Amino acid sequence: MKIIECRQLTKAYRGFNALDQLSCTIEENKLVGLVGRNGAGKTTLMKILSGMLKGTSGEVKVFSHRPFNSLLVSANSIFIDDQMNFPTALSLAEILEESSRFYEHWNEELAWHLFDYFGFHKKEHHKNLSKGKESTFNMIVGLAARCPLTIFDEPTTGMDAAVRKDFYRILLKDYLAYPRTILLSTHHLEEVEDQLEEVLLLDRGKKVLHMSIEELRELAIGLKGKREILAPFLADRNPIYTEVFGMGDEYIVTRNNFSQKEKQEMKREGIQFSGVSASDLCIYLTTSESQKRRTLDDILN
Amino acid sequence: MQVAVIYYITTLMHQFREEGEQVILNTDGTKPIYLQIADWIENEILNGDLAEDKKVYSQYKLADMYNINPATAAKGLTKLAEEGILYDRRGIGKFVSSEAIKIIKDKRKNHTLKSMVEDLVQEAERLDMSETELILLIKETKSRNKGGEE
Amino acid sequence: MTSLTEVRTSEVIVKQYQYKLKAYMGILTSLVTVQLLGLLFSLNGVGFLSTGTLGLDLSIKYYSADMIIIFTFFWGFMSALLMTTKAYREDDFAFITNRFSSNMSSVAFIATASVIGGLTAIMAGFLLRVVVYFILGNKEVIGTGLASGPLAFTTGLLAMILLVFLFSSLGYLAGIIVQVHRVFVILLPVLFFGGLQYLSSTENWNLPAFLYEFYFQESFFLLFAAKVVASAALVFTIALWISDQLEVKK
Repeated sequence: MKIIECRQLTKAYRGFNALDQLSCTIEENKLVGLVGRNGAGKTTLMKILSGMLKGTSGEVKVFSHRPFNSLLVSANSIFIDDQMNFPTALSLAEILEESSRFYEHWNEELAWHLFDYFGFHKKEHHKNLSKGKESTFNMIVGLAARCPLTIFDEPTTGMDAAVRKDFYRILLKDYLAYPRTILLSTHHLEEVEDQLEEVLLLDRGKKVLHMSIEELRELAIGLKGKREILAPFLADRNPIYTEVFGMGDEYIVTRNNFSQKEKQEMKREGIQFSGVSASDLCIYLTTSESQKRRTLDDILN
Repeated sequence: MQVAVIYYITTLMHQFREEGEQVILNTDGTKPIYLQIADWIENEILNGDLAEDKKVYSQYKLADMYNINPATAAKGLTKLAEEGILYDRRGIGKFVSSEAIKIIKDKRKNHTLKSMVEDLVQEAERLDMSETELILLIKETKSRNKGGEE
Repeated sequence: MTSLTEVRTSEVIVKQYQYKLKAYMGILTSLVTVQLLGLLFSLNGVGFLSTGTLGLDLSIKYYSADMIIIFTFFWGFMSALLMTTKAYREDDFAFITNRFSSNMSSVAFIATASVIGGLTAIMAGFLLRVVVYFILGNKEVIGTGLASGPLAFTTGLLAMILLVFLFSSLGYLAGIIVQVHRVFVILLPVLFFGGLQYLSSTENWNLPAFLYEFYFQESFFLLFAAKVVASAALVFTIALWISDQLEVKK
């Protein structure tokens, strides 16, 4: 069953398109990572999916309904971001109580155990929390609500490394215990990629790729060697990323579709292979043309 | 219901504090995780921890143990099933097949070992080592290992 | 297959209303401040009459709870306006809602607040009399108006509540219009006062006079109530219609 369907979805703001003809579908009970540079359109997409924003053109369906102004979508999804607004008059305990009244599948035990585990106090107020604690609290609400569609926009903002690790572990454990569709945007793909099933990469409002994390990890290969030795193997290829180092040595990232014969040949020539991590590849794939022409080193020298 | 939930929470708390229970994966990107899972199960079969016709961990159990997505774990299991190391019983799970050990050994001899030898020969060529020298080195290593065992 | 939660709009409105009773406590505390302020202004008295003939000095000082009432109207207007601001609307969307249920629960809260506001305003009128009697030492207090009988008291109270509700509805609409575009913060008062000025200066039709006559010269209470409720309903409907187009968390 398709939980999310976008067709040619565009969100136009004055002067630019935050989303540009985006088409994608997300199947039920998948844990999907949404990645891309700042301004890629991740947040806009998530807000449209949760019914907060309205697309300018194109079609968007969540649970086969238009999410904008839909009570059904609101009742079955939750959107957690780092600018989460909870009523300032309510204490943390009261916010959890209110949430439990609203969300049908709310898990009281999970909420309160995590509340204690992370050292929150019942009388505290949301606005007085530090950035990291705020994110941690929002995460508790997002997980305990157990909505069929759970959307986390940069959920780990401000969390320290230990809490982030805890979060990814809890996320996976609760996902295993109670499978649901989870969409999570992050700038730290390397931290959470093991827990993800799919990755959706956006760049300037457009979809760059959408595939399983396993495919993504094997999509590209890194080659290291002398430029003149590498060149013949790369004749009819577009390198995804090129880095020059040492004297005439090059590191080139390209599609991992060499034949076994080519690979053996390259090996014999002394070319070294390496895997390209999913997060590095996403960065390489979304480097703008201007950045490709002038490397950071050129600017700094 | 409540008891089950509390139990679940307690195990949850334990597991992300006790690293020992969780298997740490090689995450430097050289070997896909699903292959690491498959390797680990193969090793369990080779060293006898997983005997013939014994049920293998489910994808969810593996996901929990390795802290990975269940789909990744499933991919490792599927690969082993395709190779005939595991067999499927619909709705129950995957079991160790009777030929499992033989298949694993064959596979490792014909693929893994072969490519290791290729690397070995290539490095020897680069160092201008003669064939006799190389064979001598292998024999020496083997006898030293035997000596260690005794 | 994921089983989806089916929700009824009425259920969500009730839940949102209950949550607003808790979350918007600040609005009710501000009411106390506003009415105390109104009371303070009233203590000066609104009129003074003094005659001295045949060696007898007669001083009459008029006290009126008008200030309290006007302040309460103003409070209703401002509170409703505040509820339409970004922060408040986003709070609603922290939980299950759509624009309709968010607005309807707000209307329900405004109605509740109007009852409290109207009731306390009347009470403050009595308090004024008590204060004048005991503290200012004017022992000869002659009461007029609302307390002149149970029926008059009841209709007075109801009228007060209804009017607070009407002013609040106007505040709500103003707030929603401002949400559409910031420029209305300036444009709206200009249009309002400008229009008022223009309409009251024309020969054939005088709006303020018409409004005064339409609402306050209505001697039949039920008709008055119907007029006010219908007006407020109309204003809220317009607000709701505009709000349906608004995005949250821009």
